Amino acid sequence: MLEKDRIAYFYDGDVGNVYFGPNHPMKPHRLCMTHHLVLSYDLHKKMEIYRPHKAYPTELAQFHSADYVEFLHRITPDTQHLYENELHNLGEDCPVFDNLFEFCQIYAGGTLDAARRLNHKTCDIAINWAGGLHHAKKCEASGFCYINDLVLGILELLKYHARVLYIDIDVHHGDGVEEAFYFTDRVMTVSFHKYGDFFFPGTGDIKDVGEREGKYYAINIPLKDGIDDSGFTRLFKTVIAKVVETYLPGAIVLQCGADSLARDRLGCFNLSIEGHAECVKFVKKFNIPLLVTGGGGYTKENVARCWAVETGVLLDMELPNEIPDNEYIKYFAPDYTLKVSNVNMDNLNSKSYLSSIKVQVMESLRAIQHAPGVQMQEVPPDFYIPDIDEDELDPDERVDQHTQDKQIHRDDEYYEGDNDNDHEDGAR
Amino acid sequence: MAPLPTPPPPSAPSSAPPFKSNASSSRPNRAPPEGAPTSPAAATRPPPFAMVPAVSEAVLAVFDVSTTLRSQGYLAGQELPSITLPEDRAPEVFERLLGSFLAQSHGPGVLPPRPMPPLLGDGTPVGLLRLYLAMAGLNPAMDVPIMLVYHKYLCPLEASFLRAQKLREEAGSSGGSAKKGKFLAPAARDAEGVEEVLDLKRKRESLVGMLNWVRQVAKKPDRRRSGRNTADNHLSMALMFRRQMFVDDGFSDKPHGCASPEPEATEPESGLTTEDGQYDGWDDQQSAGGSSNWNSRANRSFGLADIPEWTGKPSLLYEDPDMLRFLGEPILTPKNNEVFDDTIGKGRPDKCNCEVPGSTSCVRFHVAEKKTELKREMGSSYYAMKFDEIGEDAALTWTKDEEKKFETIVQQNLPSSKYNFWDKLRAAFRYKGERALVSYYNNVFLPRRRAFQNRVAQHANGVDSDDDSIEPAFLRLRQDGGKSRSRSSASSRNQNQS
Repeated sequence: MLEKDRIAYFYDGDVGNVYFGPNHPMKPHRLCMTHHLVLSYDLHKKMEIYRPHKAYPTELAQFHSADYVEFLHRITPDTQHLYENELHNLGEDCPVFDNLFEFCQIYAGGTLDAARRLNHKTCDIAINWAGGLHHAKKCEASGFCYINDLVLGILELLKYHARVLYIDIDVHHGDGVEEAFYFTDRVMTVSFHKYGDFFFPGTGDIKDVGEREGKYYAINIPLKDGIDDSGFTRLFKTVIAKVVETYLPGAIVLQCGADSLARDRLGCFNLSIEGHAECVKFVKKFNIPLLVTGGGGYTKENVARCWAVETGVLLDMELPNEIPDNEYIKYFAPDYTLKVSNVNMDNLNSKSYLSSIKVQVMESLRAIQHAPGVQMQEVPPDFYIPDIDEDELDPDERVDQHTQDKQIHRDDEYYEGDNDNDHEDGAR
Repeated sequence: MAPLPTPPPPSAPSSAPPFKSNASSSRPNRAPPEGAPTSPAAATRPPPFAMVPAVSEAVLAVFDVSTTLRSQGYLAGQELPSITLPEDRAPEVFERLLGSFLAQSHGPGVLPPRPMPPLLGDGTPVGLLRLYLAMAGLNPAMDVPIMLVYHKYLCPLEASFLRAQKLREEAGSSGGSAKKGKFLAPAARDAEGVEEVLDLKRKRESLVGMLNWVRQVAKKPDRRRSGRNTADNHLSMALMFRRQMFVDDGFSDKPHGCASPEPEATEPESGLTTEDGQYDGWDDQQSAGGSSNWNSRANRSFGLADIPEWTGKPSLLYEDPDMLRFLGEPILTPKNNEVFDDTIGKGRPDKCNCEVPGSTSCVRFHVAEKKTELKREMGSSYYAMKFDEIGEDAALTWTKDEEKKFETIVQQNLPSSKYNFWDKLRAAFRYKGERALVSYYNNVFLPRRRAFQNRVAQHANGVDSDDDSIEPAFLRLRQDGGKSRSRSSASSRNQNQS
């Protein structure tokens, strides 16, 4: 009999009852709806449910600056006017609301506990739909994200694994996570996102591949509006297969932002839930310890549908299309099914465009194949190569081709030919 | 394109070498005007503005600063310069006045005496007046991109001059990597200096645009606008520059950033952190508010995470019972036989035994039935997950009057586009607390609205439940005491479709 994966699922009943403000697209109540839908399908019978501990400020400060954490702890809607000088980017997108800090503690605690359980090997897959807030930076909030639970979780995993792979299928670029690990090869970040047209956050160009020891350990897949299931999943599978084969991560963190679905209030892709879930299914197949989080998603009922389906996927269960009776059944009108149909929109990602992306990404991966990272082989970090006096090298020691090349010609792709920073897709 | 500030003429006999230079020997004669992120094409100095020819910009700046500060109440007891101040005295006067201002303006606590002029790690003094002039008109909060730009454009020039000089002096190897702090020493990039300058010449044009953009952004007072509007080519480029800036392993990930041009900070690798007393001075300035934003932002590392060394095996063992606290509290564990069972919850059945299948009462019945089932299965976990507070159960702690009051407040504050009924709700229901309020809103109020929308509204693409606008008809319906939500009565009641 096939051994089933053990799934640990994290949820706190308080996480849904915070209010970002009128007309703010982020509605944590979607988490409550998701959880309720998951249980309506009896999925709780297949996995272990835990309530996360509320992350302590010191845990949050493993990544974030101490004064930012302290600031988040202290600020309230009534006192925010006192902090005019340094609001750490709180304000409009990242409003100050009641119970803000506790909200952060819960979702960050979930990802931390999930990472620890994976390290502890008491589960194969850990799920925290409340997490995945990938825009938060070390000293400031960004894009509705205050604490970057993903970075914290990855740091936790790094205590037990040499290499961690981060995959992000949110429609927005996973900038906070990429930035945190931009200079290291111990974490490889792969983000599929919309890029161009002033779309938030504006980073995530395919040319951003990481630097120094982290060079080629950041992969960006910039996409245009309207990408559909087949285009996306094909690209995803090709890239991720190659990444896993090349990088051999000890653990994988998968951010499943649901704003890449069609009909999302802020998104602009045209994925159905099948397409989105296909990616989750694919990652699970590698049988590598997996931490799954939520992320964006601004049409509540579609978020609930998506993450319920993906919980099922992680449990190797295909959910019946008809949504069972539950407290939020009204939200799923008029069909009351799990389907999120595609929209009739133009797919601006031509075959040739997707193909060129694939080619460039494969190029980057080839670079790692030939010059593996520090943890995989003892090669001096790239950055210091120019300082080495060639005469001092042991002539008997073979230096691989890539390193030799670096001594002659700077590998920096910073300015590459005459086309640097020009985007063929017209994003200026 | 914004006009460039006139850089001080190189003949200005300021004794202090430029801020960024790491040369302990005298400045090469050919060093370009310092500090200003001018267009890279400015190998020749741009002509000065039409100014009073007799007064240099340096003197003008000093005069201007002194009168402004005096008018704000500083510099009491200090002798102010006149407009006829000789140019060669401008830097020292500036530093004197600045020192006096800093001493008078610092926040609470005793400020450690600041050496004038400030010294870099290698003892190089910094010419504050030159720096001030160079940054004139730029927003100090844009310090990082500005320095980045400076670093990428002008450091290579310097590097090349220095190298030429070093070759003359027959210095040995470049003497090492990034020991000079966050402004990556050109020395470490010597090998690429020439090539990079050549690259730069070719790429200059495409980057002038970006530079201009940086300047434009720098002039805008509010740097905190939502990133959504500024995401473009220039921003990505500027961000890339920024990354390039902090090319230093040793301390780029300390919470309060890396080495500053602190006099005491001679050894950047010695692990400067906030605990280190050396930062006190700068921190005071930070709390004094803003005036040293320039420095504090420069010191701050951008968002790198502090990554532990990998030694080949796990650094942390979870046998400590204390650690078990951090694995999450078990709420619900499946029974063994269920895990391996391939069946899970069935979807909604096609048929039910209700009198009027699909009616509100039918739905309500089945939802309640399912809820009871869950409660029975889960036992205490049901409450641990706060399932007793979702859906209409969230209204259990609300009296009918309270519910009516809720809806009235919403209705009365509707027309404004801000839907600021929340403040009024909070005021009216302060005793309930924010959580209960939000819970009622999410679990009771909104679903009822959604039910109304489902039955009445006809949207081409289905109902947008995340649209916060609340149909007045819905509230009128509630207020009129129309509790009956059967399909027929609702639809006949109003033609208001949104």
